[in-house]
Amino acid sequence: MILLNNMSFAHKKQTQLFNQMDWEVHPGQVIGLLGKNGAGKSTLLRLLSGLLKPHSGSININGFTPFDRSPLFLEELILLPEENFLPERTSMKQYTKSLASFYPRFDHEKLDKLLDEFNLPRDKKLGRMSYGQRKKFLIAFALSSNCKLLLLDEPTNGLDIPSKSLFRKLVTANIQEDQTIIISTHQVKDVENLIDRVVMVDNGKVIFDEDMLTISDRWYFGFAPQADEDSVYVEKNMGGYHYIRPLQSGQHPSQVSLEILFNAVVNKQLVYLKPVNA
Amino acid sequence: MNSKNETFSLNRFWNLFKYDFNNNKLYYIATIPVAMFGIGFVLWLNFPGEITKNGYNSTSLNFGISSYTFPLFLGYFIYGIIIIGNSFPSLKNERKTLKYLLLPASTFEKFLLQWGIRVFLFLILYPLLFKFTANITGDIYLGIHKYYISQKGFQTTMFPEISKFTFSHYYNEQPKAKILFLIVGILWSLGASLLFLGATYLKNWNLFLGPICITALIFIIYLYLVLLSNFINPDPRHFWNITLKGDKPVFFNDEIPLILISAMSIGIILSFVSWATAYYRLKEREV
Repeated sequence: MILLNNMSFAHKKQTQLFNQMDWEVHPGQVIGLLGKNGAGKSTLLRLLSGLLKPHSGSININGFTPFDRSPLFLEELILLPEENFLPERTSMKQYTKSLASFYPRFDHEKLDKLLDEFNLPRDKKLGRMSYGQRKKFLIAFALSSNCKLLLLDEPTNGLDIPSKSLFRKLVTANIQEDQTIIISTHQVKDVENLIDRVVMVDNGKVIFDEDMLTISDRWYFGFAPQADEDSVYVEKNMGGYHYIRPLQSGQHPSQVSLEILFNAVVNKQLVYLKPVNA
Repeated sequence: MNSKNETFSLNRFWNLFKYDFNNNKLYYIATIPVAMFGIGFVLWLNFPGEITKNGYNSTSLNFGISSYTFPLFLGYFIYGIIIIGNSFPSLKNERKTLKYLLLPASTFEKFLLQWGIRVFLFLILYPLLFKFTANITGDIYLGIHKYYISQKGFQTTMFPEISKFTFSHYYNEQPKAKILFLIVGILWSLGASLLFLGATYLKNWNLFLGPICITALIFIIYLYLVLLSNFINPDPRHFWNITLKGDKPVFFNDEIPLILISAMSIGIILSFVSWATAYYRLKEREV
């Protein structure tokens, strides 16, 4: 369980990024962490992984304070940053051999399967692999670690279109009940069918935090030549209007459009949709 | 409650060692032969006698054990800067640092591994490596020269002697000599500790690390002598003048001068302070 209590943080010589932030995450969820550039998504992931120290307040993850960097906490955590360090002269096989032993629940068979799915050559030196191939390898490694907390920062950046869809498929197929995955991204389409909770941060606050099921039970996302009168948010697009309106009784829920939802929340059109700390 | 040890586990330490070796394989493998070559090369240039176009120039100067002292210290400084100054190679840039800090090992294990490999092993291995290389180089040098001379029939009035290097030259049973030997060891350790600490601050600026640490070490010794001068001889005089009579006062059966005892204590304390600061730097590191 992740628990942030009055957590504040500012980068050196910069204005405060997070101000008395409260947040709670229960295990077993795939969370999409959305926000504009500079909203603090990557910083939040670094705070959660113990790379940064909150200036005040506390972060508690499964009983650990992340910044203590206890090995018992770290062996249940993988942070996949946008830019990762990989030793150039090492092959995937060697890399796995030297690192997997740190993670007590690492599943080598699962890694083999995932590497096959991603079509990655095992003996190729990491330095000779493309950016996308390295990313796929790291995603496969993270999923095989069976860590309780996976923090993925822009995981689909650099992936080709088939790999993005494969990424969604593999995450869905390989997540375990006690695992929490937080995916920070601005490519909302890539995680639309993957996440079961959406969290938006802006100006250091959680401005929106809701389960996908609740959103689709409450709101209807549509596209029509003319905007619906009951719409709470309308966005003009090629050939018509995207809109969000309350789901009417008897109406089938629609597919949640994260992009439209994000724009609606950021433009403060959906402020009454369970804002937290707003 | 988890019963696993959060501070130290042999299994995690071994994993960390394997990981570190895997990432710095070439560096570790190349270090010893390169260091041996460097030591051998410097000694070769300093050994007496020279083969020239016109024959063999011998000198009457023998290469005694004390002639090894300068190359011994020179090697200590140069290799110290290269090896210890590159401690924590995984903290050299942001991406590496991020990966390293998140490795499931405790800060103590990460610190201990670097300290063990870079400081402890260096302080133990360097003198042994120097002794081994010096004696091998001396044997090869003499072997080649003697063979050359005997083949060419050159006249050598006095073939110089090259003594075998041994640490017993610097050591004898006198208490004062023992303490002096110990102080040199402690000052070596302090120099190494300052380099180790500097590596956690200067990241990619190791080029400046050596001179800074050596300057710091000299300044520490100078400051110590100044303070001791002022303490022992508080006559009116310029503060920065050193007016020590090194042999007085003496302790322990009137044999060990205060200057040696205090130098030893300060060296030990500062070494520990350097290690503790380096540990704290690693523990509080943010990225």
